[in-house]
Amino acid sequence: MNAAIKAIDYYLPERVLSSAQLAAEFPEWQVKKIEDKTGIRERHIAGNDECASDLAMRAARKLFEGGACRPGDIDYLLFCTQSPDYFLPSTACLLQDRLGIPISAGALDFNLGCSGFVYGLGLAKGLIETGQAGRVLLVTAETYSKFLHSRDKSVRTIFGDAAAATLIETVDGDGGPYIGPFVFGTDGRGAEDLIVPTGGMRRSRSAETAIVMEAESGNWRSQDNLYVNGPKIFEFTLRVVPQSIDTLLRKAGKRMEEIDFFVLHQANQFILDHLRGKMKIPSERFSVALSNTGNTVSSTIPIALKDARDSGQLGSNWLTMLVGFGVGYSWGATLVRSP
Amino acid sequence: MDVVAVISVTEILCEALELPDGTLSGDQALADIENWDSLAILKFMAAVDKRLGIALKPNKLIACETVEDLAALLQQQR
Repeated sequence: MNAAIKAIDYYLPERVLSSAQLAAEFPEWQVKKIEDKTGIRERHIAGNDECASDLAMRAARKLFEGGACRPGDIDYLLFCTQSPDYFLPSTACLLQDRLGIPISAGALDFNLGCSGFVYGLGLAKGLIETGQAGRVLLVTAETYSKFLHSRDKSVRTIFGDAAAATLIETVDGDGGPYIGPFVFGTDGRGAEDLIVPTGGMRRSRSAETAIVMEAESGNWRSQDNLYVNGPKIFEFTLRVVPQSIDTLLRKAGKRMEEIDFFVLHQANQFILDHLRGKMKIPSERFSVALSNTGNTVSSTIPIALKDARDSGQLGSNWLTMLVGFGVGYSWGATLVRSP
Repeated sequence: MDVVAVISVTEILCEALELPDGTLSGDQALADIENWDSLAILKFMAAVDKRLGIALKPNKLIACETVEDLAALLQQQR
């Protein structure tokens, strides 16, 4: 009994933030400079009343409308977000009702960022291969834009909102598993390098935490906004990604040349180019898929997989390596083959 | 300061900042170098990783004030 990715679809909010719009807001920046640095031409931004569950619902409906299965066929819903609709209840419960998933289904939220998709696949595989579920809907959805200060160009150039819905189900498999093995990693020493400091129970939002202050390189933000320590995150990435790839290859008994395609978390083009060069991966076997989405956190990997499959860059049954890394610090890598 | 170390760090820095070779000297203050901003720090880290396979410690890198300080950091992490 093997679990495999059966189908993926995604939804991007209608509102678009182009590099030209950002250049107009920040006159010291040029469109070309923004695009060269990030590889991003446009990001999609959720509406004021549009939350993670709204994006998630649209992504899942697209998946169902594409004929992958019906809502009634889902017996477990895994929902990954760091920008939930409410503290409680779980957004997964709202989504179960809105999508018409049976009340006999299990549903839960898990809070991870850029590593979330890989962790979700690990959870789904565990549920399916131990007989707890037959068809798992894994939904990743973020509205990070709501955490960003309008005058913080360092993050507004990078992040976009999105949701992706992935169907994982049992397949009759010969020739080994369709998902796995896995490498996971966690290092909470990096917690403060990518953080929204307030809004949880540790520190409530207040007039004091909302005071906007000038930070590095002419960016402005308050304690209520998302903060990213770029150099620390980059150093973490340089240490962890190559090591995770090596460990995964050893665990799977594979060599680099045997991996048909690589999808790393689409953080930004600068990091992707550097990692690709460092790992000596040919560009045709390496996904760069963020120019019209930006960094959509836990949805970058499923979006890149779907785009690569639709464009023919990724073929059926290709052995594909997925690597997610970021906030936490948290990271994970796995191999997938999708029939 | 090791002269060879200073020369190699100025080379890497010129490459990262896309400056002509030989435009930087050891005692030069980083703050006086045009383009030495948050992106330049990432580019320098990437260039050091590419050339020497060293992931520089960001806190120590940000504390550097001169090109010589960068050279000393490279030696220390080598």
